[in-house]
Amino acid sequence: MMLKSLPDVANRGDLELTLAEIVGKIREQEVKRRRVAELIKVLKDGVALARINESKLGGIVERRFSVRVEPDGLVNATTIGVDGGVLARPLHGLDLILTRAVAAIFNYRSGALFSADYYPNDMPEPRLTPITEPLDARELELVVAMERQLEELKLAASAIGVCDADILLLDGSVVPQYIDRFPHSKKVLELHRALIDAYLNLYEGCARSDTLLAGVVKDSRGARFIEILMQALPSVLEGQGLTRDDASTLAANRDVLANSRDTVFLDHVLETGERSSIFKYADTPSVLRDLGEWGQRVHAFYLKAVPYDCPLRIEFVNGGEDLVPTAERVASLVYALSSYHDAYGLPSVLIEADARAHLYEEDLDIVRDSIADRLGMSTSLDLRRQRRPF
Amino acid sequence: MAVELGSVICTGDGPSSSEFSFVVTADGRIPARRGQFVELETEEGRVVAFITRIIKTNRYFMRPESVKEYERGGRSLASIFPADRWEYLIADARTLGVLAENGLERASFPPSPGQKVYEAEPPTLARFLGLNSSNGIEIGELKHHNVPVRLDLTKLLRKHVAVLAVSGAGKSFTSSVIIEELLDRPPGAGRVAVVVIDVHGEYTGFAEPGEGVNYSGRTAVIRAKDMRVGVPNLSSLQFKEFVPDMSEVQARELQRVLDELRAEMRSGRGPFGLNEVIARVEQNGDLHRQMQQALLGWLFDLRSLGIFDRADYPSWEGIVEPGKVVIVDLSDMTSLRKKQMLVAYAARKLFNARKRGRVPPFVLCLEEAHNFVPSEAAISKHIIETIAREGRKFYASLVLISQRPVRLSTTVLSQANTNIILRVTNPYDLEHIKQSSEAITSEVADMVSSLPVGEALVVGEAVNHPIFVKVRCRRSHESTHGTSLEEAAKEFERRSNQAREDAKAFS
Repeated sequence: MMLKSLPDVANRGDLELTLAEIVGKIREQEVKRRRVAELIKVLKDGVALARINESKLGGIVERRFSVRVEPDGLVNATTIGVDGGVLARPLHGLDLILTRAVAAIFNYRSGALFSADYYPNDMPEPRLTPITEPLDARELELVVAMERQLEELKLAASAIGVCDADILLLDGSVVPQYIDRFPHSKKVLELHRALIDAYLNLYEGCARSDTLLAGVVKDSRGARFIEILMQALPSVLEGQGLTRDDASTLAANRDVLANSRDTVFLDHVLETGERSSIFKYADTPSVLRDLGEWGQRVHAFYLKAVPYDCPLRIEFVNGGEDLVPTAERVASLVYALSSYHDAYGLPSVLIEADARAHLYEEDLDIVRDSIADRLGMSTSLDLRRQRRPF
Repeated sequence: MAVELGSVICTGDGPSSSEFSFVVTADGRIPARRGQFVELETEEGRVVAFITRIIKTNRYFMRPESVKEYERGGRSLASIFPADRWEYLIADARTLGVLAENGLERASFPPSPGQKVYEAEPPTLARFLGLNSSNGIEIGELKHHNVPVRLDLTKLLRKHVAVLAVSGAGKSFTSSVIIEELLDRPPGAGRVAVVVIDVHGEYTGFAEPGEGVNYSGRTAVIRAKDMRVGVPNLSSLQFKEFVPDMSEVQARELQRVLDELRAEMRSGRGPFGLNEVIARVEQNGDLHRQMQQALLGWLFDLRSLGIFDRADYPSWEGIVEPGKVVIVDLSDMTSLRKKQMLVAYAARKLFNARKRGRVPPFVLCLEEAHNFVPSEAAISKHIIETIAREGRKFYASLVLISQRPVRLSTTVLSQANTNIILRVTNPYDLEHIKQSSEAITSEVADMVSSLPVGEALVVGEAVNHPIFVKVRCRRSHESTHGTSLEEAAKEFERRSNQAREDAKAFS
């Protein structure tokens, strides 16, 4: 019997309405954001954060809103990019995690890539981690992410020993991200501890070898820079000679700042080749408490490397006292490595590392199949949702 | 030890029993090539395959917009990324069969992904291709392999060969190589006689002692101007072959005259020529006048050609010998009709003599074969087609050499069971060749159009699979027809000046 397939007019109407609402909201936000951004863009060169009371700055350690960055000439430089790939497969009574980390080492001469090396090699064998403990879905997600990061950090710490690099770039943050308020299993806690140790080991290694350490966050969701800006805004704008219209525009659209991510907002404010002022990774010591004194040395800034891509969030660890020169050097190198493509601003060495570390589902299939073959009961390994009969 | 080329990979629809792809892992500037034979193990045994396509892939160059963006301002992608490290060669291969005791069996099971692929080794190839390593006709080297291509004499010649190519691609060169091989065979290996219909005088170099092997002692050159058709040897049917418009009644009357003259010849009056035939027709008062005039008209026409005499020259039965070549140099003859008559006569004489066992097995090489056995009517067509159809039984073989296969009789081309194809570019000719042999697939035909000079595709009876061959160097002396245009122009001027000087001196 043929069933008639009729469009659900009512539901379609609801969807249209919802879509229209979303589009309207995005447009409205964008207009507001642009207004505020344009105002701040005009005023930014006149903003003297130095005049502002320290307590109101709340973490901004550089007294300029934005800074022009000179790209490094890459005349004779060595950069390391570390990235990792991870795949996980929950199975019946067992979870499999496959990780691979690669360090791409680019040696530059006279402004061009001279040679490329890889550590441990250009296509290392993935590492298989079986998880037999009963973890809930959230915990498994945490473990997977931490296993990947642990692999990357261990590799990064070793990689600085194989060459005399100017900078080591991690794909992502330079601090652990997996702290939440929920209680965790022993496995998670152990892994977290190992992760902290790996971070500390890397910080120390970089400091010892005089290698800059920075994390490049591709798609940052951070809003700390805006938080700081909002906190300091009244003081920032003081004496800027704002017209009444401008002042009311700012006041009327203040909420948009609160609803924006740093990268989205700063995309309107920063020019290509500019970075934001440096700010502390966190205000309160508790956030990075596990990192000890290193936690206070983690800073960040945003860098707009290319015209048609959002700014990159760059986090770096300042091993010594010279914070601003360190930031300048990091920005200069990252800018040089990220400005080749007008619509894709990411350091080339990380693009390469990402490609090398990438894992394919088929890689995990092979592992799963090998286990199943040896067990001689292939179907019982898979979860029910993976072995639907139709 | 076999050279490992790569590993079988999974593709959307492979590996299958008929096709597979492999990633080339071997190092070297050009580690694998299209047209190369490979071998690998499967559950069925040792599989031989043929590389049909090789592609290079590189993830950095897959998105044109990104390449353009990264390379703007004259920068190269290689100055930003180690792009060369991402270059991979993927080869597509077609499975040809599984090596078996008695040759090759059809593969019915796919190779496993990850299976190592090796360059096919010479013994494997010789066995698989059906080459005759000890006693064959060596025409060159298998392309991409260090394997001499020695074709089995019987498989190559018994069912005729066609050598097809555009002008200048090396047809005559390749044919000369085959002739050399036939002449070089020792008596114990079985020798055949060779007759070459040389339209442009390209084979006369065999008669000249030169560098390398001297074939002059094994070569006889017959110039067209010296060739004669012995009238006593002709029947009215052969006359009719030369004059297709001659009616049956005219032919019958002519036969009566020929019988009378032949009887007189046998009674001691000696051989007769066309003049005697004409005189006898004129004297015959019983003939209807109109028919007499018509018959005389044909005979006068034939006499004007100047190729008829009281006896044959050469004596075909006497001149062909095992291990020797007779070159019929038609280069000084312009009339196609005369050439067709001479070829038809010679071919018929040879074939008939062969049927009676009065000449050794022979190979008739026919240059510009499309002129002698074209798709339309021609004086020489019938006998050449007859040899093509029946020659196999009597060990009379044809080597048809042509630059216009589309103009060749399809009967004769389809009887040529081995094709040696050098570069052919004309799409009609290519299509014609494809249709004449099922072994020539589209991918092989594509390769034919881009073959360099001196390389040939051999397909058909002589080989179990189409192969590309680098034709070996010629050992015989190349004829002077091979001189450059510059040399020919200088020679013309030199002769003209000499003639003027002579004229001045005379006056």
